[in-house]
Parts: sequence; C-alpha cells; structure tokens
Amino acid sequence: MLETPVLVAAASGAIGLASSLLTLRYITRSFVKLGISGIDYHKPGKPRVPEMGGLAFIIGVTAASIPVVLLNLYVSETLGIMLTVLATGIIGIIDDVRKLGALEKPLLTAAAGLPLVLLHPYSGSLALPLGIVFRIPLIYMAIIPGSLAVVSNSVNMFDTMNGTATGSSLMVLTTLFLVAALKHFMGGSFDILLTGLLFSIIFPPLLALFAYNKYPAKVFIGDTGTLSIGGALLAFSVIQGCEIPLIISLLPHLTNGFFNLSSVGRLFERSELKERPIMVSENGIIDASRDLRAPITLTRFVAALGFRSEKEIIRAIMTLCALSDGLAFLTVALGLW
Amino acid sequence: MGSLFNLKPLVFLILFNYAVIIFGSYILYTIQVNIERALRTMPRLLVGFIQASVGSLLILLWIFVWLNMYRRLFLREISRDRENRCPC
Repeated sequence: MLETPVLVAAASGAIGLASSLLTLRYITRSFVKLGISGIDYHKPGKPRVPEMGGLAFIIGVTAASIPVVLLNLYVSETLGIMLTVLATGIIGIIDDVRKLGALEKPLLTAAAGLPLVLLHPYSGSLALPLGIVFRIPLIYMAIIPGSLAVVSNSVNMFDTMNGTATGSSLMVLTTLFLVAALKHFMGGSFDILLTGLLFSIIFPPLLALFAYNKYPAKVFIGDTGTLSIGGALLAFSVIQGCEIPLIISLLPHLTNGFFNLSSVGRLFERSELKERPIMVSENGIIDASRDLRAPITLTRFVAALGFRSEKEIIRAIMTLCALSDGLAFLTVALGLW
Repeated sequence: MGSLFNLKPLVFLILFNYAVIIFGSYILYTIQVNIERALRTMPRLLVGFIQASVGSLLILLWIFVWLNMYRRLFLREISRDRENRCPC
C-alpha cells in the first residue's frame, strides 16, 4: 500500500521538511556561537547571522530521497537529484569554509554534473519552442556539466539580499512543476507521478530554508545553499525535459550573472571586488554606485531605478522573477512549447 | 520609494530575451535547415561545421545585443538618477 507513489511522495516530503526544520533550528541556535556567521550589511546595526543554512536543504533533500530509493521507485531519477544536490552542496561547503578560486568554483560545479550524466535519467532530446525537437543524446550529455555550472553559479550570484535566492528558486521550482503538470494534462508524455515525487523531495526543504532566509533573515544560506539549490533546479529540469521553461524562469538570474561577469571582464569572487556595486548608509538606505568600474549587478540596477531600502529592492527583484515565471508558464499554456 | 512601474527597463529586457528565446530558436532552426538544403552536395562534416559556426555567431550576436542594451539602459538610469539628486 505504502508503495503507491502518492503516499511515498507525501511521506518523503514530510521527512524532508522535518529534517530541514530540525537542522535550521540547530543552525540558528549554535552557528553564531561556533563562529559560523556573517554580517548582514544591509541592516542598520549590521547584525551577525548564522551562515551555511544551505546544509538544511542538503540534509532535507537527502533524507527525503532515501525512502524513495529504498522502495525502488524511480531510482535513477531520485538518485540523480540527490547526488547532484550532494555534489554541488559539498562544493558549496568547501567554498564556505575555505574560499575557492574564481575559476575553481565553476569547474568543480561542472564536475558535480557527472552523477547526473552517468545515471542518465533523461531522454537526450532538447525540445525548443514552436515544436522544434533536437534528438542530440551525445551533445546533451556533454552540455549537462556546463549547464550545471551556469545555473548553480547564477543562483549563487543572485543571493545578494535576504531571501532573493531561496524565494526566486522556490518560484522557479513551482513553475517547472506546474509546467510539467500542464504538459501532462495537455496530453504530453510527462509522467505526473515522477514530477510530483521529485517536487515533493525538493520543495519542502526549500520552503523551510526560505522561511528562515526571507527578510529579515534568521539564516544565510551560503554557497552551500545556493550551489545545491541551483543543482536541484537543473537536475529537476533535465529529468523532466523542461530546459526552455527553466531558461525563461531564470532570465533575471542569468542577466544578473552574465552582466556581473561582463562588467568585470573575467570570472571573479565577490571578495575580490574593490568597487562595490551598492553603498549602504547607516540608516539602511541603499544607493547604486556611480563608479563605472563596479559590476552592474541587478541589485545596483534596481537601486538606480529608485528602490532605496532592502525591502523595496527585494520586492522589485521578486516582481521580475514572478514576471519570468509567468512568461514560462504562459509559453506552455499557449502551446508555444 | 520606488514604484514597480520604475522597473520598465528591466521588464523590457526580460521581454526582449523572451522573444529571442521563443522566435529566435525557430529562426535558427530555419537557417540550419536551409544551410543543409543549399549545401547538400558538400561533405557532411563541412556542412555541420558551417551550421555550428552560424549558430554560434547568432548566439554571440544575441549576447552582444543583450549586453549593450543592459549597459545602455543602466547608464541612462544612473545619469537620470544623478540629475535628480544634484542641485547644481
């Protein structure tokens, strides 16, 4: 009876949520005392906030995946998600503990795509808009590591304000789930049970993380969180074959990451930057830097558009994410993809 | 206090990229098919190479336009912001 995927999805979702919440409780109580904390520069008084909250996401996804694998349900797909989250998460932990170089991080995150490539839980076809489908199994396999590096690091660069990375990722994941469900009910070849099962593994830990990371943050997710969330999103979309909706949903992330890189002219670590993109006054008012050498981040752009407080900037960024997610959903609803 | 209406340069940028993703892939596909038809008599490897080069060139062109648009829109906003603040 328990083997029915719906019950398993509900049980694994509950396990994932409970283990993430327990981990987050531990992190908020102990990490500042242990010295694993960062300063929230955007708040008056600059409070110390526990770092590496992303550990809760990794633990939650792993705990939710184990029963599914043990019950022999969609093993390669579930392992694909779990191992990608674990591999990217471990790179995030290493980066949080001892800063990785600007080139090391994307290379290592690309290598974290190997479990997904080897388990092969995908079709190898790339469905483009307007009914164009390319059957490219070898090329598809080759682009997974590169795509993982791009998506993970885009989510990482999007973690500039409280809850922007977790909140936007939650919206992207929900959009991908709705897209796959819509495709299924429109007569596509999507397996709604698999979609629901994978969603129930990723969504509850991400929701718990967002609850602690949203403005005003009780926890920073760190690179541990951003890289593993990016890994989960990429693995979910590859397994579901929802690459185009993922790209559309991630347009604000990709724009931010891409122009960070292009305005600096090379791969870089945030700590290397001499010119900050925004300036924060004592009372928490945020101003866009006028220094042309500073990276043109999305936050800087939004600040230049007249959004002056952290809360306003978060609201503006979330509006842009909602627009992209809406466009991704509309594309499928209108039959363009 | 920033109104959500202020976001229009970024909304425009998202809509532009969305249009490129939706219609650009169809244009790219049509170009690739036409290259294949036109160069039918040439060696398969060469045709593949030409197709890959054209595809890469078009993607680079998209990135170039995207980059320039973002930069121009940002510089326009930052200069407008400066004018509003500076009483001189």
